[in-house]
Amino acid sequence: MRKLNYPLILGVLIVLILTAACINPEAFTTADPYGEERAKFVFIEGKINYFAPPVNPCPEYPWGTDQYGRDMKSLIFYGCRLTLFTAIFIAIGRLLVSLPLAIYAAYGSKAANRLIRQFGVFTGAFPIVILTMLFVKIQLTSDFFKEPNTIIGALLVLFGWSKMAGLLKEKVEGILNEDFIEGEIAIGKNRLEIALQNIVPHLIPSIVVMFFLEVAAALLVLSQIGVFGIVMNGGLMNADGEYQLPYEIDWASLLVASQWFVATGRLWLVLYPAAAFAISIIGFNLMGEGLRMEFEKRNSRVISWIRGIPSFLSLLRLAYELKHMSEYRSSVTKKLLFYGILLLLLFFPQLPSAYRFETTNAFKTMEELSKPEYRGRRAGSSQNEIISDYLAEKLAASGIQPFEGSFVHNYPLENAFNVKEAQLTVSSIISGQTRLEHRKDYYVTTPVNISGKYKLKKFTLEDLGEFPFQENEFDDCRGKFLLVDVRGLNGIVRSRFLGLINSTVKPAGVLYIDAWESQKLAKKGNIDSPAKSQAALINIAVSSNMGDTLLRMNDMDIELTIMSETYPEPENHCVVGYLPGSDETLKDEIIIIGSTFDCVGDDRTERFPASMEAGGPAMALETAGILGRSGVKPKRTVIFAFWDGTNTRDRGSKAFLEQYFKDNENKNIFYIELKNFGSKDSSKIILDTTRTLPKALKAQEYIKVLKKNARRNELELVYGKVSSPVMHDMLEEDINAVIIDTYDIDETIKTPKDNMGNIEQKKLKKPGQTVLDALVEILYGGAV
Amino acid sequence: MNHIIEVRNLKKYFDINSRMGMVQHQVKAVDGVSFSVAEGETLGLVGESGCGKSTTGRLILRLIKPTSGEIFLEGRDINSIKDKELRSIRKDIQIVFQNPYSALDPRMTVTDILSEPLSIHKIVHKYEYGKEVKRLLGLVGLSEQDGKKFPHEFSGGQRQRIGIARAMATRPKFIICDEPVSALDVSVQSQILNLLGDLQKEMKVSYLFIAHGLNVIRHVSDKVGVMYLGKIVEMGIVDEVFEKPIHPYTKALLSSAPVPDPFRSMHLEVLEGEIPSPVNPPSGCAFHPRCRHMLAICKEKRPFLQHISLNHKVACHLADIAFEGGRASYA
Amino acid sequence: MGILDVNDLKTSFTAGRHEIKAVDGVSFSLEHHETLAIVGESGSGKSVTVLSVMRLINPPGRIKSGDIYFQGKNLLAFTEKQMEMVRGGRIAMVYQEPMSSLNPAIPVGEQIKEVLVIHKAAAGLAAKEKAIALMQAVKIPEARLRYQDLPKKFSGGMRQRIVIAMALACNPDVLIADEPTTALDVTIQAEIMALLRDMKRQLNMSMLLITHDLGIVAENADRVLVMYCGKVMEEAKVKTLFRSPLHPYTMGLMACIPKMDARVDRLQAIPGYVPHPSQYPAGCRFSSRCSRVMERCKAEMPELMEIEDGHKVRCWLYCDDVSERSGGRDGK
Repeated sequence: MRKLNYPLILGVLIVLILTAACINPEAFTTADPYGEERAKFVFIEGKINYFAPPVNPCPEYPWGTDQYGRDMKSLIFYGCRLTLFTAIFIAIGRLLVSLPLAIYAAYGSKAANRLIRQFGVFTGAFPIVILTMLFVKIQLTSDFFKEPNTIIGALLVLFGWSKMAGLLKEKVEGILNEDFIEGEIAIGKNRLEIALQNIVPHLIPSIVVMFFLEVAAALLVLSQIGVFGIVMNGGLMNADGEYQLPYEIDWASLLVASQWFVATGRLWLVLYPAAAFAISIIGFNLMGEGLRMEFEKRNSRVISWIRGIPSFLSLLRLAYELKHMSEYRSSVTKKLLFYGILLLLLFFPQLPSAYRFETTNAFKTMEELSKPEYRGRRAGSSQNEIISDYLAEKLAASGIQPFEGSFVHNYPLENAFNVKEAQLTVSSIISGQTRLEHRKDYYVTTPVNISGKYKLKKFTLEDLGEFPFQENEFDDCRGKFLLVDVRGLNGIVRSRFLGLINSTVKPAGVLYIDAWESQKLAKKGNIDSPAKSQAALINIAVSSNMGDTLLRMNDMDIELTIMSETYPEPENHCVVGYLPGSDETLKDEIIIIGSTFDCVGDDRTERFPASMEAGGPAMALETAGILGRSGVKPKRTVIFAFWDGTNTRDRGSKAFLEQYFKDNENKNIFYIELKNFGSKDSSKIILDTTRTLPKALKAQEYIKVLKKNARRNELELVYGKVSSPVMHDMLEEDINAVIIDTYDIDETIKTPKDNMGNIEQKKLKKPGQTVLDALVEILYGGAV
Repeated sequence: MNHIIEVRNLKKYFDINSRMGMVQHQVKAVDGVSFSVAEGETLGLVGESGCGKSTTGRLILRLIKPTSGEIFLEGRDINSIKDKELRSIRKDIQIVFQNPYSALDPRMTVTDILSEPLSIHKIVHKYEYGKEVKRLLGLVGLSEQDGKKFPHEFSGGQRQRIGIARAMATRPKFIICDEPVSALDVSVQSQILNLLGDLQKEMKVSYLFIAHGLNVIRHVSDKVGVMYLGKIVEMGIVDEVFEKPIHPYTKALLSSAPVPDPFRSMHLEVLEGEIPSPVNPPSGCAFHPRCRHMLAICKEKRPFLQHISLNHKVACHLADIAFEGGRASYA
Repeated sequence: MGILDVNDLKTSFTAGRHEIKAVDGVSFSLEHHETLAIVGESGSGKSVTVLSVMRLINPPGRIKSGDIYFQGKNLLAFTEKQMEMVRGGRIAMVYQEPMSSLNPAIPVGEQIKEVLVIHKAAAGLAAKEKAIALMQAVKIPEARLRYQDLPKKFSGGMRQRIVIAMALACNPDVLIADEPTTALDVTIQAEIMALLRDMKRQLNMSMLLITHDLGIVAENADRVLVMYCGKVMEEAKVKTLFRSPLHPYTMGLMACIPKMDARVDRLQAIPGYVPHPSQYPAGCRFSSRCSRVMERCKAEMPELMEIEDGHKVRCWLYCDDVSERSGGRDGK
């Protein structure tokens, strides 16, 4: 009766499941782990309830959500990969460090022995958690390693190798004491050869066992330091509170606020990651123990087989054997078979996509949109119509149907103006004249026509006095310009303050110093849109640097000339086309492919062409074209929307949704936004899925289709959060949305470099083909 | 003189540690041993435990570093060579170990074990290893299929054959046989001894044959050296030493070996006392505490090997006196 | 009837599915005051035979069948308590490796004394005196002083003497010596064997001597048993055995030992190897190596036959003679 090796069986089972979760987490869970549940008010039995993450386990979220609203089950399964890989990396790292040292030490090197001993004492005395915590914060480590993942991994390797080294050293000493070593010396081997050829093979069982046990130990440490907040996915937040870097998911980061969660009774937030750790640790430990038992009894044909690998793979040897084919027939056959299977697996031909995405067309569109003719058109200017007409024409030509009767949908813009001329000089007796440059040192935020010289007075929050604010308190400000520093004030206070100045203090005009640098401002499109509260007065936003300069001056005079033109009845022109769904049950499920074009070719030479942003519309256009021309009716409805005015307060998307999808009763809309593409500098595409609710099953399926097709087209995806003004509107209507953008273009977007010279046509192929394939699958593929 | 190996005044002292870094004791494992072995000749070294015969063998192969003395391989001084050059002498000098059960790496197949020396010393081209291993196996009476097996799948005698094959792989000139048959069954011993003899004739290799079984030594050796406490006390052509032993120790040794002949009358020259420990050897002649014929000089002065006939040397004061007369002609 | 009679003893070890028949039908008689040598190589079963006599066989080994009579009483029927009295008291054993019988942490004198106390041969101070006397009898110099020494302070030969002292402490009737000198140097070996001979004579014991060395057999034994692969192949008085060995195995053994007094060019050798118990040939177990093998040998196992007075052999070569004389078995 053979005694079964239960530990091994159980251990292998667990490790296999974990491996499956690492390779294909999608199979285990429906939702994308980045999708976030949003806070909202719900009516339950007639009463308003505030429903915010973290959500406790319920039918929609079987394991609940984390504090950001991400589905816990998905987090666990997707997080498996990074967590396990890090643990394995640590185990391998420790092994690579310990093994040579152990061999040196066993051979008698005093230095190695001392090193092992001292390190062991040192790291045994300090808790590894504290050591890691200290070192992670040091600037040196982040300079050296760059990636947060490798920092923690490297630190844990550095602080944990000594135990393994000690164990290995004893084993090596044991082997060196065996009689056959003398025989190996006698035939003339030097120490290195004996180490590699005789000692290491004997160590392999121990090494394999130790490896698995070490992975378990590494997982344990990772879970512990996670509780202390030392985690690997070091995403950074920017000033808007949004993640700048893409972030990856792992289990330890889920444990970061665990004390707080337990204290507030949200046990599931800690339970699932802890359980995941526990099961993995048990699995690896069992496997290690099971293998140890196995190795102790078995004959090591394995080792002899391993020895044979180098000569098996040697191509020179193969050539020799081919020459002497008659003697080595069986060996040659085996090798050729092996190589054949290998080649087959590596270069397995993929099925081609049904439709081909033509990058030439998309590139042409981008070129067209970046042409100088389109320069100077802004939302609300008449030149805006040119692009929208162009797009409408293209849509019509490709068989896309106009939405609700027409391609172009016009919506009113509240206020659109353009500053044609601006001169501003501030002078004082002591400092002389300081000339400010328009759009570099200041922006005009209200449409005015003014010319004159005024006194410039500094004004602070204290000067405002106390509530209630009477107009007559500020008589000495009338007719003057006020210099106000609003940096550091939070949004509400600031807008109140400026509002009060405009409405109550009523000076001639306001120069307010805001925290922007001239270059960065170019990316933010918002300065030019006047706040409602600033409607009456002249409001000028001054850059931070210039503001500091001005604050140092006293007794200032300001001389300015501003000419602006407002557009009559400004409108934004959105272009929307669609293909209606043909399947009775599915036609109410709508996919909207959206892109914005109102930055493209914007303004005069000071505002940059934003060619990358033209990529979005270009890609959408090409996709629409292919689907339209194919003549095949999609099962689901697809809408292609090209938004205008998204850089203003009156976004085209907002108006459109209000008009056609108010309250979104059927709630079956999925929105895909295409933003920037084609940049030479970056080849990674970022997929932001945070705005799709994890419990929206249909939407999650679509996301899986996108990911699958990305893999198929060898498109490298990263995950993160991207900001887009259209998202406000989507969230307002509770529409699940994803954004597809190019990663790491912060340095070039909306700067002088963002022109056609920076666009590479080839780069359009993979994302374009991915979106096309995904769409085809969703629209035509039937039940998803 | 075409001596393959010549050893002069070889010494090996082990330091026993020692309080506070100062050496307290020394084990004089080998204390001034000299001999030479000609081509195709077998020198037997016999003695009891602690006499230093195994250590001597390992010193020649430089498995242990000598404290002093000279070793010549074909006239070349190999004692002072650097460690890097050791590899080349390990091609010409090989060793067969006593314990067949632990001399071979248990995790290597026989083919791997035999291929190693071929690869280290580049005896044949890499792709010819298979053929050469087959030849070596045949040389020692094993088959090609045995190459795929592991050492533990063989009996003791077969394992010793593998060990011999490994030693022969480098086509050495000199092989140190360190008690190669002591751990084997009687019926297998003779097979191995025959094999060693055949190989010697075929490959013209010289042996240093270390053993404690006197009958085995008698059979294999041309010359024999009797060792006691690190020194050679008697040396000569084997027939002469065995039939006309001079040193009291040799005599005692020969008489105490059990003879499988119940008809022979036993004449046991029993020695007094125990074999002393090599840490604290007696002064003068190391054998004097156990010698019946001890003289006063034996306590003080150490005797050196002196010829008593052309092919027979003894280190004994008594012998010196007895044979003084006839010595001059052989000095 | 001898002091020890063994009839058809069978002892096996079970390893997984294999049954290893270490002793497969061994019978002999140890007469009073005689030295019976059991000769064999590895795997012959000689050690297991005497361990069976002492009933020191533990699982996975088992005495399957047979009788062991000691002074007329069946040892196999004894309880464990009774066996404890026999072991060390009436039948004593000396092993090959003295350190396996000595406790490294207890002074040697105490260990000898312990034997006396357990078997109630003496107690207290008298036991100590007797122990010292025993040490002197086995020629340990300065016995009184060395009573307190730990075993590690003695050389191999001395330790064996102590073990012998322990064995002889209670004046046993039978002394079993299992390769008592194999681990010792040749000069010490001679002394120890001399000591054993001496003690045997003084104490009127019978001795069962296990060895592989025919030289020791020649110098010490009265009668000899030759075992091979768990069976007795030949039994004879020592002089008869050496003068006219009958079994091809015995002859081969004697022929292949190098002689001290003469050199031959090439030794005679027994070809092949001792078979593994799981691979015993059918028929005579020596058939695969025998120079005079016949067809019959490979098929049938011969019986142990008495050829002449006191000389038994298990070989088909001699069966015809026997069948003619006793008319028992069928001829070829």
